[in-house]
Amino acid sequence: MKKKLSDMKPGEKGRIVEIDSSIRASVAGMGIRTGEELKVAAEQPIGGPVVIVVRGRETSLGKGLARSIIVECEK
Amino acid sequence: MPRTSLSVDERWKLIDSISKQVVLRGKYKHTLKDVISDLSVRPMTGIPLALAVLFGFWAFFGAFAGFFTDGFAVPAFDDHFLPAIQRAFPGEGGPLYWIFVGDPGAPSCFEAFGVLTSGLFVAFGVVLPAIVAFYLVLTILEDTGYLPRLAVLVDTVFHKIGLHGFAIVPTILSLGCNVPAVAASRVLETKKQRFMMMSLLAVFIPCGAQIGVMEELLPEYVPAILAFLFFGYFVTGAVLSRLIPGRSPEILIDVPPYRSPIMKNVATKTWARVSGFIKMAVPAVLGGIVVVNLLYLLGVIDWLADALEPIFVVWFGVPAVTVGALVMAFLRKDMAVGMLGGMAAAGLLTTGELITSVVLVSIYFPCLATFIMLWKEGGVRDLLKSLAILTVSFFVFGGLMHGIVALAGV
Amino acid sequence: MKKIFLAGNPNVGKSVLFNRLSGARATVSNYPGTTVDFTKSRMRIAGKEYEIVDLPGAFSLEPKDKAEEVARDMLKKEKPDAVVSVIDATAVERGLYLTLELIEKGYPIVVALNMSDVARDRKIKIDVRKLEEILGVPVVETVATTGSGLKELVSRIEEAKPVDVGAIKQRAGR
Ligand SMILES: Nc1nc2c(ncn2[C@@H]2O[C@H](COP(=O)(O)OP(=O)(O)OP(=O)(O)O)[C@@H](O)[C@H]2O)c(=O)[nH]1
Ligand SMILES: [Mg+2]
Repeated sequence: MKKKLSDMKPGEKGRIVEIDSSIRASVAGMGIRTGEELKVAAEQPIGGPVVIVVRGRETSLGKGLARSIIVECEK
Repeated sequence: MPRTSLSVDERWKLIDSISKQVVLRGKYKHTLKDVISDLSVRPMTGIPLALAVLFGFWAFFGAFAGFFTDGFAVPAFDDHFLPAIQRAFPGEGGPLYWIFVGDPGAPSCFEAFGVLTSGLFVAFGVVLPAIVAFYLVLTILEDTGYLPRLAVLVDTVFHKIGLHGFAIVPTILSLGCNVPAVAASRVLETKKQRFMMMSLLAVFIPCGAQIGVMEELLPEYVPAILAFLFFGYFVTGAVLSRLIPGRSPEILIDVPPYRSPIMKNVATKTWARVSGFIKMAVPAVLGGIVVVNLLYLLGVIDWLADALEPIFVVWFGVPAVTVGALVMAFLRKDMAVGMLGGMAAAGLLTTGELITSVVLVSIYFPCLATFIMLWKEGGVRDLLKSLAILTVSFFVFGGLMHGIVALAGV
Repeated sequence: MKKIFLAGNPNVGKSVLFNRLSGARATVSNYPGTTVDFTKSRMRIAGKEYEIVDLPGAFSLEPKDKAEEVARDMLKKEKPDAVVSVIDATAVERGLYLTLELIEKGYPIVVALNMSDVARDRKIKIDVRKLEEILGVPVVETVATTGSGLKELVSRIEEAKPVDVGAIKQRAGR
């Protein structure tokens, strides 16, 4: 099932299938790109950032950025 | 040599094919560090942990600094050093005596206001222990990797004022010293965010040296004063983020794994910062007293006090003698607060007036070193804009504090 | 005097390495963005004096903030004789991203695979020989905090050379 990263709950896993071109370049250097597997480690309330784990490394990104990333979720 | 350039996707494709051939990831067992890491960024557990960490920081700071200042420095300076030097220094009442020893009848080093009395006492007896305590804890927070996690937790609040969570890093550094904090604003993405950050730090965040003196003078009111300054920081931030054009990108940061601090690094870093303080700040404290005393002797400060009296008394509710401390604050804010403490001890200020004037000193002009740093980082235009923000904030929040003090009846 | 630059992602240990190599005291902390300005110092290799520069961390040569801008501008302006590309061995891929960017721009590169102690703990194995073969530049495993691997790194700095990405692509088998 495809979801926006911003809609995923802590603990959910998936594979990135699409990153909006407006942010693709800025997250690429951090290792966030299509095809990569990720897990959501935490989510802050009221529109706060999410923390994701990609290849064993944690990255935090704002909700707006998370909305621009589409993930194919497991299950 | 031919120079090929790859697109983002080509580069990643190449990396994938390299990584497949050279990197082998075995089964990784989660460790305690990973568990704590998760707990510290989840709001339910992370926020209580953050509060506990910050409270622990504050408690250690107060206890450590209090132990050395009240336990050793105050008795040593006030009971032994001060009377001795008041007696031994030649030419009582002469200009040199005023500059170096100050008031011959002063019962405490806060009140004397000479280079060798107040200057040495504030620099080494009050501020030095505070700085050591602050940097010791800060270094441990930095080296464990807690700060980026704190950044994640506070992001929501900072996002509301056009910054993002990582702004907590310059802010905390600023509670030690504004100068490196202004430089640390470079980690923010846009010119708007950096300008806002630098201005907010310079206007609202008191440095560790100043907080150390405040802790010594009015310990029970320091949390309230800090809370008021942070209130000003966020209100002004919210206003600025609406007025200043430009983008406010969201947080995008790497959260490194927790690491155990390496004692050697903790020691060298704390020492580097403390020795930096001794080299930079102590001469400024001592030199500042010389300058301010000369201005007193020349009658400049009394003239200024007369001229500014109406504003001070009516708008801020503080007597005009505080002008002397504001002049000092150009050079060193810790010593400026020390002067205010001396005035309060001598009965020239009530507690309420002391609180308001400490707030005024905090908001008022950044110290010289910060001023130079703002200039270096932002150029003349941004510096002037920051000063405009500062002037408005000074009157608005100074007046507000006056109102609060009056209402609370302190 | 020849110039050696230390470049790499944020928080990979550039400043620890810099301090080890030059005896300087650049600030080291466990968060990205500790170094926000360049720091210069000197070091000796085999009796020759070198200038060594610690740069702010960057994920890419297309800067995202002012600190990354400083790194890019210094690289552009000062034409280093060797760039030590410091990679966190637990995050090789993104380290390679910046390394490739540096290679594309024609800088002479040596790779330091730092934090190799952490990689070992995390059961990450890296075939250093193979990586060296594919990239065509020296690759040395280091642990900056203990100094392990630094001798080898220093001894191979002279081997730093520009390579063509096209050739890397071929060697990587694509
Ligand atoms: N275990 C281990 N830790 C290391 C190693 N190298 C560096 N560290 C730690 O990694 C953290 C980051 O080190 P720095 O030297 O400040 O990193 P940097 O690359 O200069 O970071 P920026 O200035 O932010 O770009 C510190 O806590 C170091 O103690 C290593 O080889 N092994
Ligand atoms: Mg560094």
